[in-house]
Amino acid sequence: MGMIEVKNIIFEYIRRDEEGNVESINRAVDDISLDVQAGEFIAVLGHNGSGKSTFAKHLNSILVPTEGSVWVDGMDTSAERNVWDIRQSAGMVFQNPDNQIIGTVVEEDVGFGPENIGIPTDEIWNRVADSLKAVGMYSFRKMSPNKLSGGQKQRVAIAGIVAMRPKCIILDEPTAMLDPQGRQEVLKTLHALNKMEHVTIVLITHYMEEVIGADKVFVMDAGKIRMQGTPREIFSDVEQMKSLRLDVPAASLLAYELRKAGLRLPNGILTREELVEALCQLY
Amino acid sequence: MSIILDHVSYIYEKGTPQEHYALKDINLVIPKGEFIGVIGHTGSGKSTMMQMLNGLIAPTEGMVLFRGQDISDRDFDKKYLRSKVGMVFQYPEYQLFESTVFKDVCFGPGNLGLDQKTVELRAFSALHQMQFPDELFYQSPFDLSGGQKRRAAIAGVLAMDPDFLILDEPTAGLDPKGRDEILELIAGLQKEQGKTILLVSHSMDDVANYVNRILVLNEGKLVLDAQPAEAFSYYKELEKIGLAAPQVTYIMNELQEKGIPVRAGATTLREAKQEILRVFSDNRAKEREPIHDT
Repeated sequence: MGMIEVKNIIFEYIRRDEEGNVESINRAVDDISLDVQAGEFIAVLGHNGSGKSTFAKHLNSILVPTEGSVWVDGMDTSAERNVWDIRQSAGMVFQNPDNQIIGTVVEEDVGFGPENIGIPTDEIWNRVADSLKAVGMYSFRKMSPNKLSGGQKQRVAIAGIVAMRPKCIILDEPTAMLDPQGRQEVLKTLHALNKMEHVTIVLITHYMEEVIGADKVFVMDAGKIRMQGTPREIFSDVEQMKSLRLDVPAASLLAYELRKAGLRLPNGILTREELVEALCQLY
Repeated sequence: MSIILDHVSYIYEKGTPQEHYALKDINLVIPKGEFIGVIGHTGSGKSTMMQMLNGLIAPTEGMVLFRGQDISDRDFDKKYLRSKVGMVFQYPEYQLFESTVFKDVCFGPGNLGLDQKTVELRAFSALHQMQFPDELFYQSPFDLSGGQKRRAAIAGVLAMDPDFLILDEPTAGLDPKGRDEILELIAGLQKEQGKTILLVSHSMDDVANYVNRILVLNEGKLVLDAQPAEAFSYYKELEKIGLAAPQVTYIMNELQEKGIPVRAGATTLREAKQEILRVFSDNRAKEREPIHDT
């Protein structure tokens, strides 16, 4: 069964003046349809202002579509009675870890969500321990979040979502503020959650390298989905990616440039291992 | 006219059990006209060092010298220093506050005691340098897109006409094209106007593509000060301190390990491409040579 079903959604930001008359309408999401299966790892790319964050906010009912419908785990996001259940099924992680951490001790922060939905205390502690282990932060459980690095804080924020036992996690540029090591930590954590706990992942990012491991990629522009496919398919089309203000991973770009210069490299190189391998065969 | 750091240390919570060095014995000369990349993982002391360069924090030990004068001296003109050493913080658009972009950019030079006309000319020129669209000058800064806000905010610092420009992750959160556009504009300030740029970045590829000198900080110490090719040849050491090298550096090193005779020093895509093509054309030339018995 589909974890997320999006059917022809449109979302408009409507600005009104003091009298309530419509001043301007900005269509941020323009007729998007897509399905995400349970257990998939999905990536969404798109330039600033392409509508990807607005789209993401539809996936756990922070926004509801102006037209069309979004179903998460079989629930319609526009029905108010579903909101709590939807937010338990689909958790969201944002860009800035400092805005998402409220506890003064790591384990208290992670326990905040389950406590709010009335989970018995013993069970909360179990969940806190399990989720901190799942993101590799268990040994930091007694520390103050202030003392953690950006990547560690972001993993604590993810643990806070994992403790809600969601079926799906949506992440809106979770690594934008992190150093290379922090970025790697977060990415590894997401893939581990996806493989071991079968959590569906929807990752929104500007870093092309982070998309390589995804099952499927959607590329947005002007509120629409312009490209979709496997990372290999998406990154084979260097020119279209560039025209959408995006990029491709360094190995794909180098392979593309070398091919243009006459080296007979195969199409669809994604990783640096693949490029090195292909060059060795050619040499 | 350089900035000189002479045995500079900064100690947090000195005299308490939590006492620790955020910076330890930094010695550095920053001459005019360079494009310098500053890298180091979170907590390595980058921000502390940057804030020291325009006197926002004073060293606990050692001296920061600007025009040969200790900036901690009581008679040193800090206001002048801050107009000459401009600082663009992370997410600078959060600091936009005026009702129009133009007024916002005028705020900095307006505080330098210049007459109104000069202030406005400087604001115009700064916005043009950042290629900010004319038709948006009198918009509220809050109605702009992320990339436009970022340009407006950087223009606000440029309008002070600094000789040194410090930028803390100016491309964080921007899409790849927006990132390249901002970096190109910044590179232009260095090439065309001879401004010194200090770019704090987590992106090794950005650093490799633009700077001519890299400073690496770790645990408050300046552990490396070198040109990009040399700096990234220490990629294994960089990884140990939470950093990395550009992707192409890894590709070149792996090719070398597999026996393809590339020089591993490439740090940008263009260098890597040229080097690989050179080796492959040599190889083909060799194949065409007649085989001699030796």
